[in-house]
Amino acid sequence: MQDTIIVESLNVRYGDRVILENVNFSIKKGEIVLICGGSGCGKSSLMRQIIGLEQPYKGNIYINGLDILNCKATERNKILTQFGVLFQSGALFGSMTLAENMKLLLDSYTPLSEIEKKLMIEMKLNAVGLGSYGDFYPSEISGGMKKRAALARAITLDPDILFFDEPASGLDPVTSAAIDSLILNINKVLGTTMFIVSHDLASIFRIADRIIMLDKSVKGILAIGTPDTLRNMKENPLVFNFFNRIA
Amino acid sequence: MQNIAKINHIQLQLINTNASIENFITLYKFPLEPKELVKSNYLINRISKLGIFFQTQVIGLFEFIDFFGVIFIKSISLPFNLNKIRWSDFPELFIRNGIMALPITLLIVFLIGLISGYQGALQLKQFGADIFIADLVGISITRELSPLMVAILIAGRSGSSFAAQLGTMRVTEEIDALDTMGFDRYNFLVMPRILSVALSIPILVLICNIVGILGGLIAAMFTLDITLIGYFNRLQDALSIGDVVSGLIKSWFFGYLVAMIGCFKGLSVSGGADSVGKLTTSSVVAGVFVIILIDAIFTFLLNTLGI
Repeated sequence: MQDTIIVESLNVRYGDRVILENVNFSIKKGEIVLICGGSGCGKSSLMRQIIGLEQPYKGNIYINGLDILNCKATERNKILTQFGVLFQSGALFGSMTLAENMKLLLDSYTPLSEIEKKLMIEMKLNAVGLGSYGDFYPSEISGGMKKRAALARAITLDPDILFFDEPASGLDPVTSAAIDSLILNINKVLGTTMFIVSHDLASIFRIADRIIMLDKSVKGILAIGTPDTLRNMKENPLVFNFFNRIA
Repeated sequence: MQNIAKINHIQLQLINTNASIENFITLYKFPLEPKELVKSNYLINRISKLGIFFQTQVIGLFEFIDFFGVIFIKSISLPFNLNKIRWSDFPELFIRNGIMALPITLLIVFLIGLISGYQGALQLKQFGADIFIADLVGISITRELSPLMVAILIAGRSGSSFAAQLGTMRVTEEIDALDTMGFDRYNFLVMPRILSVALSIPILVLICNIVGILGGLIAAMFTLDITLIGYFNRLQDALSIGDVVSGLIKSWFFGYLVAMIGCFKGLSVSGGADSVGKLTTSSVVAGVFVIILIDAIFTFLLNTLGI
């Protein structure tokens, strides 16, 4: 299967502080990969480098075969339409309704008519269970609904890859499980590659095909494998304890 | 105590304590090793902090020059890139930053006209130069006071609002979301805001000029017994189109820079609410400073050119 994301020799630094050193991995098309690890190990930083919000100190990142750090702006913009991002806070535009948040992307990147756009928005909102909330502003809905609305916006253009930063944070277990079901469903129906930053064990074991565990002590990848492999990795106490801790 | 004992290599032992005190001590046990508890030099600390402060200021200045460059190029190429700007936000921004600022700016400039009229009248009366009140009020309002007062109010109103709005958008990751969606943050957020202020401020100043002159007229009528016709006849002779136009051009620069500073400060926010508050305040202070600086430059240039 083709690799959708390839990270080569990635080094991340903030000033003199080294966060990640020589990180290498690849993610196959349609795979759900979870990035986990303790606080401050560089999970979110890694995601921010891949989605282009920060420039790495060193290394290469390829998305769908394109070197995103050294490509032309037009090529980069094309790649941006091929992935959706769900931020930790949802990051919905507060001055727009949920429908307007999604229409913004359709207006800019599709030649669809107004009726078609409306239909698309309804479809996506229905998919996340918010069919009747299109005219609501983000401030008028709950935290869990915001996350779902942000997910609807992230899938507006049917992206090849979805990035999630702590999708379960601030949510109760039931809502968190509902988000996980949505992620699995989208992956199953659309074959979307998922890159998820999380340290919620329940989520990790529910949805991950593969786990990449980062750790501060190695400034990079401590372990990589399927959930079962990592849960039974007795030879590495850090990994074993992390995946066998009692929540 | 644990800290001091560790530094001085004194063994600390608690005797005759009950379980709850021991539990408390265990809970708050000092976690650092002695080697980390090196006493820092006060002077070196101060110098280091001063160095960090200047480094931050210099970096901030370079970042602003970079931002100014981007906005300057976008402004020059605006006629060729009109379709790239997010115009859908423009009407609301124009109303909020222009029309809604009208009542307060009108009131302030009217009072400024009234005050300068009264103060001028007292002096002019002594020399029997009563009628020159129209010159004094007309020229000072159109060339200086109206553009200056409107710009300072816009710095407090719109500059701070832009800094707080964009700063909050940074904290809530909305700016990051824009970037990952492939939208240009300058075309999407900054340019509509700058244009809304730069285009509305000359209109505000023009209306305020009239109201300020009327304020001076009221002062003249009540303190110097000057008639309405006498005041406006004198004003017609005293006031040139250059006075009005120079004030309007100046106000455009004020508005453009104040809006730019507000947006720059907002986009510079990092961290949380504390940073939003600091940079909002800073946007007003920097905005007012720039207004005064540009005004001084304009005054010098116009005097040199004899305008």
